[in-house]
Amino acid sequence: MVEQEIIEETTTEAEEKISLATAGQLMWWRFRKHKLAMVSAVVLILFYLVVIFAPFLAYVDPELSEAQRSLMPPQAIHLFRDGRFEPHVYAVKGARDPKTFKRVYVTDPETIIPLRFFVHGFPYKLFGVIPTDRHLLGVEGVPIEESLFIMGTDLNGRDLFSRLMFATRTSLTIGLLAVAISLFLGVLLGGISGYFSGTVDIIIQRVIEILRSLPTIPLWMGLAAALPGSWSVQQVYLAITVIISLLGWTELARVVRGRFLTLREEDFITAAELVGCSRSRIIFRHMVPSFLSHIIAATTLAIPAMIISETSLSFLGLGLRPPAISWGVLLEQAQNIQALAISPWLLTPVVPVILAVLAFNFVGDGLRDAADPYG
Amino acid sequence: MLGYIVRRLALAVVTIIAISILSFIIIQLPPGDFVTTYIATMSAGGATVSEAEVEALREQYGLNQPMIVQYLKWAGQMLRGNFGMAMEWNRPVKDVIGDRLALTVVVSLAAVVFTWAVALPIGIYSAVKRYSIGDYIFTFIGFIGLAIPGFMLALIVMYVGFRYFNANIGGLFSPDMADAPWSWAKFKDMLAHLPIPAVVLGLSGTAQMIRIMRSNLLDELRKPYVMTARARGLPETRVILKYPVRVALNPFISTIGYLLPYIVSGSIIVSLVLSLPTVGPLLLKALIAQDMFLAGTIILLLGVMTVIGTFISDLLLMWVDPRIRLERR
Amino acid sequence: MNNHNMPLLAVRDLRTYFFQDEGTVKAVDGASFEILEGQTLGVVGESGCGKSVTARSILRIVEPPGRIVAGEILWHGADGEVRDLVKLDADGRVMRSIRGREIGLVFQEPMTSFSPVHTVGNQIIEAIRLHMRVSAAEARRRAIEALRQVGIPQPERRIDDYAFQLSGGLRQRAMIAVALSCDPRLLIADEPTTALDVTTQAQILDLLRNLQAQRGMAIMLITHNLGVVAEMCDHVVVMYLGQVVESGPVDAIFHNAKHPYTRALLRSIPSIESPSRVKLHTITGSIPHPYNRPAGCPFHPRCPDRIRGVCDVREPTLRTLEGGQSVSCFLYGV
Repeated sequence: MVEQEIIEETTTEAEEKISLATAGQLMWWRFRKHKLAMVSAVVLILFYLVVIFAPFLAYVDPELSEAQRSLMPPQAIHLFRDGRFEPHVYAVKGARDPKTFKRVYVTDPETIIPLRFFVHGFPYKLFGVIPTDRHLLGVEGVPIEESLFIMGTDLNGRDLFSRLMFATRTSLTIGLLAVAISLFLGVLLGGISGYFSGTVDIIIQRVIEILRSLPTIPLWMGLAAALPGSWSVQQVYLAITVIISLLGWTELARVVRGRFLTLREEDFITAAELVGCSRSRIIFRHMVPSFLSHIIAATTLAIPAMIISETSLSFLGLGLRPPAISWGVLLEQAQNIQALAISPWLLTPVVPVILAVLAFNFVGDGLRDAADPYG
Repeated sequence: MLGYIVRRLALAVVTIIAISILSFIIIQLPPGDFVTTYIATMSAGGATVSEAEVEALREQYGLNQPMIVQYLKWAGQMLRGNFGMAMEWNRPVKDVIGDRLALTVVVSLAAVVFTWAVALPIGIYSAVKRYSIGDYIFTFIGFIGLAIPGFMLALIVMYVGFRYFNANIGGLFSPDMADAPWSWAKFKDMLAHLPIPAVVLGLSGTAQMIRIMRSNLLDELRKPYVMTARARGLPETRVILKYPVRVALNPFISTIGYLLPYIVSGSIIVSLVLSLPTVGPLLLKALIAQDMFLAGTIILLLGVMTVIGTFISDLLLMWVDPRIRLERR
Repeated sequence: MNNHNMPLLAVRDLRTYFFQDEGTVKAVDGASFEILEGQTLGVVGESGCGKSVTARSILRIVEPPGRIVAGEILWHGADGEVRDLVKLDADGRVMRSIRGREIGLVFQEPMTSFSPVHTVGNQIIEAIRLHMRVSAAEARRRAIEALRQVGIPQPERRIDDYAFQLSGGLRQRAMIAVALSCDPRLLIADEPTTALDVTTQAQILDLLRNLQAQRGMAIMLITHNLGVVAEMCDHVVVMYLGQVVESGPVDAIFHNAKHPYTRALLRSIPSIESPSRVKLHTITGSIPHPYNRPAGCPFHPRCPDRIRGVCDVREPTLRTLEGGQSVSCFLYGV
């Protein structure tokens, strides 16, 4: 008999790390490999910083209207003066063109208004609690509402940049809220459907199919228009959120149901049942961690649809209405083509919408690939 | 196969009933009933309504009776083709809608055709030539379609057209053709104006379709039957087009079912921006004016149209996938 | 012209690598063997040793990121010419006329090897019309005949069936019919019976033997089942980690195996005659990770007879011993 020497299995360091990592860590490492998703994640973080610090970033009260400043074009910001870094703008004066009697704006290069940072401005409550009046941008000496128009003004003379900050806050939070409701409905109904099967499953599936085959926008329009005009801004806000999520939960339910169905067949679930685990233990301790990552991915991918829905409804004038401010509300003023041709800056809210939708999509894709690279 | 058709038909009918209930709810939501609003509008317009008329209307719509009865009476009226009166216009709803519904169908179909004609080849190309420059470019364009909702794209397109080409891109007909009766010339005029609405409306659906086709095809390309086809000596193009593409088409076709409501939905807002004479702008006006009969009817008709479209796509799927045709014997 | 000395297929030092992001997998790393006309060659090895990739390399259907990087595949064509298949354009006319016509391939999984949306007949007729100039009617006739030859009952009806309508055994027969429809000179069967139950297995093997006797066709039988090899093959090639470690006539291999791996494989077959209550033999260790190939002889970490300082440093080469057996092992010379 020849001596049998056993050679130790040499696993590489990388293999060690992989076998010891938790599911969450694995997912994070795979996510990291997607450059696009990482960049988009940063973009989203920036967006939500705007959401939190909206009043700080705005420099004028978004409701401050002044007919004299209607439809002012964006100002040029000059960064250097005499070779030194001194951001400033030139004063703008409104005048009436003697020939056409239309309002025109003339820049006066002689009057220099320096920009200052962390200045005093209109009062607000930071995080909703701390009263302060500091803002990121401001000017010295002159009233800010007459001097600074980074993105121009709208029909009512309100500063577009400041409004955009608040619009971002509203639009991005409605999206989250609506998706949260959809998530709840989706997980609940999808889970019941997938786990219990049988008649319950068939009924819920049919309901989902019916809802999916309805054209959403006309229904939303109908429901939104039926909201009493007397409701307050907050009530309308909530109602719109609920309306959007009522038709949006079907996609999440489908994902959840699909996951439950595949999981039920998995051997490790059968093993858990054989060991004698209770039903709830199986669901919460064994199944849920398995599909959690898919749910996260599906949820992230559902947010852009919510954002677009709210924007569309408000654009039509049926969703959020003034004095609420959202991207859709801002874009409503851009409906008139003739007005748009003269004041193209009214279209700027399109940019954050596109960026946010793209960012959520890329991050969602990245999460989905990270959750299940073979799925 | 017959069982399949019957099941899909039954589902379609149930869906239509569901939509009608939803539409009815929408009609009933605003405070006050139809008749009081009718009287108010008539009086505001200076006309008078006799007591007899009021009673007749109340009877016809069963306004003194419970909701279920009202619904049934209304549904009965609808089935008979009586869609009620549009208040703003003071004409029957049917007249007001006119050929707008048909035009909505035309525009939506054009968008679907565009989506298919573009998404299919691009999806195939992207999957076969994965990671090539073409793939990246198309994926990028796809993302643009994904990120910009239809109405925004319409806005941008209108703006560009107006500003740089000094042309009003909107509308489905030239100004002189708009109110003319239907003729071959009018039809041709419409075809000439269709491309822009079709593209704007279809672009975001196209992006989705490309991604679906690409991922389906990528899944199929890995499967053994592709390799066996190659092993038989078939040229590569035939291998790809005859086998995996054909199989990947199935889920593609079954998604038309959901493409249609998406496009019909989007057409509402896009029509507004592009000033198309379809049902969209009419619906908005009706809702703002709280003309609930008009609005409810439009919503119902849109829903029915979509369900019919979905049913047709179910039939298409059955025709295309032998597994469905044969398995249920 | 009788070129009986000229092998039908000669593979010399074939190397097929897969270039992936994480590293390069050397799926086939120096394989050499021959098949003579009418001969049945068995290619044996564990999963992942490169048997299937070898078959695909021969047919030039290796998928990217895989590529043949070195070696020759000399095919003795029906027209008498000997061509190196590695040098041909994989999608060119010449290679495609060899593929499917002169060399046929039968796959392991008959269910997924057929297109789910085309009839079985459609796929056979397509092969026939591709390689031979016949009318549609004639092609259909030949397809029905091919189905009959593989033992499918009522072939005139079955020809219009879809793959999912046939049972497992019938499907595999249909697969063989497709591969044989153009009368190839070599049939490569990649695990043709692994997915079937034992009775069907026996039937399919019988079928293959009969068809071979009728047509004088050579068969390259890829399997990990040594029982099938013993039953069917004239010659055997044993592969490990992409290399041929031993080859020779079937009797010599089974009764007089030289390479430690072959011996270990044969020892690990449970036998009805072995004493009871004895532990089953296994090969110690496990197959190394493809990115982590050992230096020197690929089998040395698991080899009971390894020579320190030699086997872990240098790679052995295939040497021919007497009786037509070849071994790649330092125990038999440098």
